[in-house]
Amino acid sequence: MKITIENLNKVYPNGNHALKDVNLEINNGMFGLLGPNGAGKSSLMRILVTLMQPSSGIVKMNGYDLTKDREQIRSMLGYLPQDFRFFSHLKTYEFLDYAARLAGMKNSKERKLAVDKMLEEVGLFEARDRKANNLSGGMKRRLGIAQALINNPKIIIVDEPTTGLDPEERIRFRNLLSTISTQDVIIILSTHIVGDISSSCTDMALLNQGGLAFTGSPDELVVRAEGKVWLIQATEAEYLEINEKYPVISNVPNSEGWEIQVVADSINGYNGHNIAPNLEHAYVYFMESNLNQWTSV
Amino acid sequence: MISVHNISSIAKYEITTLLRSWFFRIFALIAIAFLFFFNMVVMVLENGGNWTLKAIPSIVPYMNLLMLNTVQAIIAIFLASDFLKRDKKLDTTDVIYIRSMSNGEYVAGKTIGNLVVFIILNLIVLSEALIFNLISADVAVNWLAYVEYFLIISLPTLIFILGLSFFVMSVLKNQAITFILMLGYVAITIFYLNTKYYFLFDYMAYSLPLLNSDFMGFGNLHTIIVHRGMYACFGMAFIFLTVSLLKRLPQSPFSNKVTLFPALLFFVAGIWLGKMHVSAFVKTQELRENMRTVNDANMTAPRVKVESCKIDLKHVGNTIEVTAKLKVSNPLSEAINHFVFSLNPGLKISKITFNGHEISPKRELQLIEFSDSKIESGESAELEFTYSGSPDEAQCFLDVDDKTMETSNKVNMYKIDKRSAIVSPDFVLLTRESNWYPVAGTGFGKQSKQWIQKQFSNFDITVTTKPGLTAISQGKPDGKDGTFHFTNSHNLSQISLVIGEYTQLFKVIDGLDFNLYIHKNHDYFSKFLEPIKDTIPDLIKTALKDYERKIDMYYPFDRFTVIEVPAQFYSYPRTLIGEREQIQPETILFPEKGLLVEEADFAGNIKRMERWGRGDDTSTPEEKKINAVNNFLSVFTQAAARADISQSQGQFQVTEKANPLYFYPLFYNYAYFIQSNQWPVTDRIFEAYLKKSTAESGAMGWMQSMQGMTENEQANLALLDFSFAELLNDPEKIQIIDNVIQLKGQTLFSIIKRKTGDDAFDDFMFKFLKSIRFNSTTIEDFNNRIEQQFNTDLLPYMEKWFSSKELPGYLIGSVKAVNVLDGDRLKAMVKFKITNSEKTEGIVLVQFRLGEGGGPGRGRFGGGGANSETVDKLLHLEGGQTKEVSYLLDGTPRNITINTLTSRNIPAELRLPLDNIEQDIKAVPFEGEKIVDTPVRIAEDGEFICDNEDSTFHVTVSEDRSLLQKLLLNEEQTKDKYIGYNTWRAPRTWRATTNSGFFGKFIRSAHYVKSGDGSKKASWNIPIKGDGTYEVYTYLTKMRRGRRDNQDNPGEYTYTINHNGEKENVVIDLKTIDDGWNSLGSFYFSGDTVKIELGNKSAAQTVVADAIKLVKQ
Repeated sequence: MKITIENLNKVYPNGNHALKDVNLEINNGMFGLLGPNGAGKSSLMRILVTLMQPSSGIVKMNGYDLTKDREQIRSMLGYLPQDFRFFSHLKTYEFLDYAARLAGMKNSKERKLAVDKMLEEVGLFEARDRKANNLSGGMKRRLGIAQALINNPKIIIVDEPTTGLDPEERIRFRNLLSTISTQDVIIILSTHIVGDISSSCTDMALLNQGGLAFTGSPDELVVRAEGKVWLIQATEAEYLEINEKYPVISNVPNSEGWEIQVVADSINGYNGHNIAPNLEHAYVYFMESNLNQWTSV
Repeated sequence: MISVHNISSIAKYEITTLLRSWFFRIFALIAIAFLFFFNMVVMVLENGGNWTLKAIPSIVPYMNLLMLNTVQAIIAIFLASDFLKRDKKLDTTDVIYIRSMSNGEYVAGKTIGNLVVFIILNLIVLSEALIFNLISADVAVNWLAYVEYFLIISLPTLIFILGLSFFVMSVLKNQAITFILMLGYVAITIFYLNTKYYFLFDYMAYSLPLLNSDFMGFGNLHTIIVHRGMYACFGMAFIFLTVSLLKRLPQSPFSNKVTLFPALLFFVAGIWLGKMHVSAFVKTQELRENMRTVNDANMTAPRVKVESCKIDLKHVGNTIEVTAKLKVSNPLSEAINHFVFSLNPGLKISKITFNGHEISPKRELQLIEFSDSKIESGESAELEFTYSGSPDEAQCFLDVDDKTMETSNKVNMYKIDKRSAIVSPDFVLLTRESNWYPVAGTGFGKQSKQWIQKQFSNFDITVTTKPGLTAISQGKPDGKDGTFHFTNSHNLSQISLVIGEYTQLFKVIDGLDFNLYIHKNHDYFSKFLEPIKDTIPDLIKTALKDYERKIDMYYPFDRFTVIEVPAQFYSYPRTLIGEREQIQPETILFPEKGLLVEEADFAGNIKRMERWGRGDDTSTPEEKKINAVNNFLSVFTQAAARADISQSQGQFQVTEKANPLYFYPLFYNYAYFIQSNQWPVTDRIFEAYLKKSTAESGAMGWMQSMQGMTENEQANLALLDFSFAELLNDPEKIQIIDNVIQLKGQTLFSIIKRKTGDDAFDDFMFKFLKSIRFNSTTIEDFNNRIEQQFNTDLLPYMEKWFSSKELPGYLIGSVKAVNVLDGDRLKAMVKFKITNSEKTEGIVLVQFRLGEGGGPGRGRFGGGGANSETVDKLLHLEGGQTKEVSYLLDGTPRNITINTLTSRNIPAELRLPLDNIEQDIKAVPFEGEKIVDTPVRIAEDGEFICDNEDSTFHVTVSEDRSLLQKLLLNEEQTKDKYIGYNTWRAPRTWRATTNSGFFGKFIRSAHYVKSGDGSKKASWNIPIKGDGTYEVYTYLTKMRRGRRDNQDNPGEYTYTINHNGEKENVVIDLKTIDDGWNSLGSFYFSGDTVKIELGNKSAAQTVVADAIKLVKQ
């Protein structure tokens, strides 16, 4: 499986240039899509799931052109949108069955087994007869994940899938995706939760202001932040200064004042040392440096 | 490739979603509950139900779906617009949209889902109706109709309204606006466009006639298919347009555009079907107009006399194949070289021979023009026509205007198609109107009224049809196994032919062959009437004899045949022809199961009798059944049908209707014809006189109070402004023309009788009619005979009678009734004085109702009562003449009705109760009339009266409609001079109403208005002679309308008396008033005019202003 995106642009009628010449190649496995709000993630995803027409550019999925071969592309898709709250008057089981039917499962016996299995996997089997609208936020999310995964789609696009899930559910979901990603599928995961990507994605892209800021593996992004992450022991007065000067990742009060993690090229004058970066550090570093909103001291 | 799997998946869950919608559930439940009660009341409850709703089995599903259709149209609009709204609102829609399905599949799935939900609702409603249908003892089940009505009422409506709603919602993208807009559309189509443009906009099939007869199914299947197909096509077009407009990326870039093609195709198909629908009507109108033109062009062609007509008819499928051999003669004094025959244009002529030689006369539409076939005076010739085809119904009723033809035949909520001629594989119904056999001369034309002339000929008909069918025509029947032969011993003016699957019931009653032909499955009465079956012949005999006595004529035929015919068979009342098509020589064409005849519901009638306590509780079940049969038989002896009552902005509109089953034409119209070239209406005048129908119109007195004037009174008003001749030619007067004819006929014959004497004239008429039976004659012949016997020439008077605009006007003095001893018998003597103050002479009918019981009414238990007897007296008054009349009555009169017939008097009938008649020992018994010099006066010396009809009476004129009414109601407020008296929807401005209790010279009227703030005033300006003290009286009447009696509805009137430059208010308490003059007190007046005002401020619902009288003291 392979998705190639060439010079993809999306300009809304109000003039907002949501995607600017995006070029991307996505292969089998789990692909993370990171970016701040308004970066164009949702626009990209809605284009990829055929909900929206791009203004220009070419997208090919496994050789199929996104604008010409929607029938084939849609038959490969599983999609969980960011907003997934309001259902028509359907029960949990019915909604999943509806999705399974439209995903191409024609055999009713097989479909029933698949739906039940999926409900088990996402922990909704007990709630199968409850109205989907009456499920809790987390349960709705799980139902969304279930309908996206039903009938083993080749391309799974999930937007903020773990929002609303408790830590245990998040881990279970990540593991589920990871397991699926080992097969011949592409999973595109758009998220604010960097941890979701670091723990499951082999490749990722970073979108900013409609443009592609980074593509590569999470490790490559982390490498870029090596030597840029500092742990500073600061007094109360320094703490206020540091907060003004640097992007603060974390701040923990202790008996001597504050233990602060920041990303910066250097921390001249403060009592600190480099620590090993993680993806979250790397993302912040990358975004801040790209945006050029901080200066080295 | 279209994926059925996708469509069914979307449909399945759309159905699930919709069925869980509370909007749908609530409306569906309301519909189901309403129809449950409707079916229960109509078919099950012990009140007898409504015969018009259960007589024909197909009406059950028809009515249920017609009512459901209104509800489901509203639900469908909401749900259809909701699917697009839901798609927009629900964020979970995205995960459905990304699935691999085409937009067409998606919209198809949604549409089918919506449709299935409504199909489920329809199935529930139909099942509910079917259950009631099955458990109802007296309603048969038409299983197929349940499917048919679903397909022609619900399905096209749903496809159309769903498609239109989808489309409007797709364009507007706002459910609220879509809903309001669509509801507006529904309202406009129901209330405004519904019947317009040949029901073109009737998408709910409200006005489209859809009755399914047991004889012939839908008689208008082609029209139905075209009309319903049109809406289905438009619906499909909108659905395909919705696919194009769906806010979802299509599967392929062009697939949205591709769906425009079927949308366009369906639009074109819809427009084509719509055009076909309209053009069918327009072409019929054009054809009718062309036929009238052709008739006009040949109206003056001499008419040969058809002596005999021998018809050999073969019924094959939807056609008839006929050979008609005619013997014709020349009745004129000179040779005829050019004559015409009429034959329905749908029947194609293959051969015509004249005296054995084949000829080719010119044929133009219905007319066959013989130009080279000479018949010498007094000579005869033989004509033979060979033709085949199916009659074109456009030929029928050419004298009826297009608007009337297009008017729906509405019964309750449903509509019945109007058929005049039917030729189908299993049923045939042909009457003279369809010209299915050659008739000498032309039909209706605008230039002349000669077309109404009748010829009496000897008919002989042989009919061949398929086995199992029975042919019925006039004459002695003979034959079997598909061949039937009818011979006649006397001439007939026309014949009819009915072929169908009939069961025949035959009985010789009093020398008459009584035949009843009913549909093989329609014997709903035999079992019910079994206990009295031996009595029924006597009941028929008695009813016939009673009627013969009533009209003083004998039934002229040897046979009396009643044939049940499809409910669709329809006829129009006409101006110059008295008979309706339902009545044929020796035959009554009775509507299927007596659909429109409540009296045909024997069981229901007995239940109703018991419920209303009209039946004698002590009577046996057999006696009740006898009552029901008598009641049924009375249907044929009543001239008037139930009136149509409608209401517009609070005012009742009562339309009197002639009873199409009134069998009087069997006694007169099909046995006699009096022809007059100068006065073509002459035959109708004879008919009206012999029918004695004018007297019967008195029973319609309740209409007077409902709408202000009866049609007889409207006819009288019209006769003041127009001559009889003018009224006959005025199409706008069609509704009252029958009344005009009756009134004028009554006047003419009353005057003849005055010159000849009652008994002598009756003897003369009896002999005259006997001499011309089954033949026609002329008014000149009648006049000659009158002249010979009575030395009276009528013809000079006829011209005056025909063109006069003068009417008598009567002033009637107080009626006094006393009991007097006449010998040793106590009799009631009723006296009154009457003046005809106009120049022209007139006749007054005085009726006394003797004995006890209710008022006059229809049917034997509809009122009247067996103990009631009426005594009629005719009173003649020359112009300016006053008479004192006195009547001696053997019984106790309950009331007297003075019917002024053709006169200026409104109400034409003055009905007065004669209560508590006391004995006057000094009174001398006397019956007779005396001419006196002193006329009846409405004001004595020293009395000054101003009536609301006087020019010195004024009212404030204001708008009668509220702003909302003006905005919403398109219809015009009634412009009639007089309206009915209606307390709960009284007019907002002063309007005149009539009542025999009001004061008036000829017109007993008053003005009335809804009570209010007193700003609406009536004022009387009364001229007086000399200053002085006058007692002021106001004329008041207790307006009794059932329980709404002013006595129970307290209130007051406030009169303002202007005297001596001052205004003084006088308040009259309505509880204390008497009928007639009530004193307002004495006042000193100076000057020459006194002004008295009455405002509309009152606690009563209405304020009535009638007359003011000043009496000098």
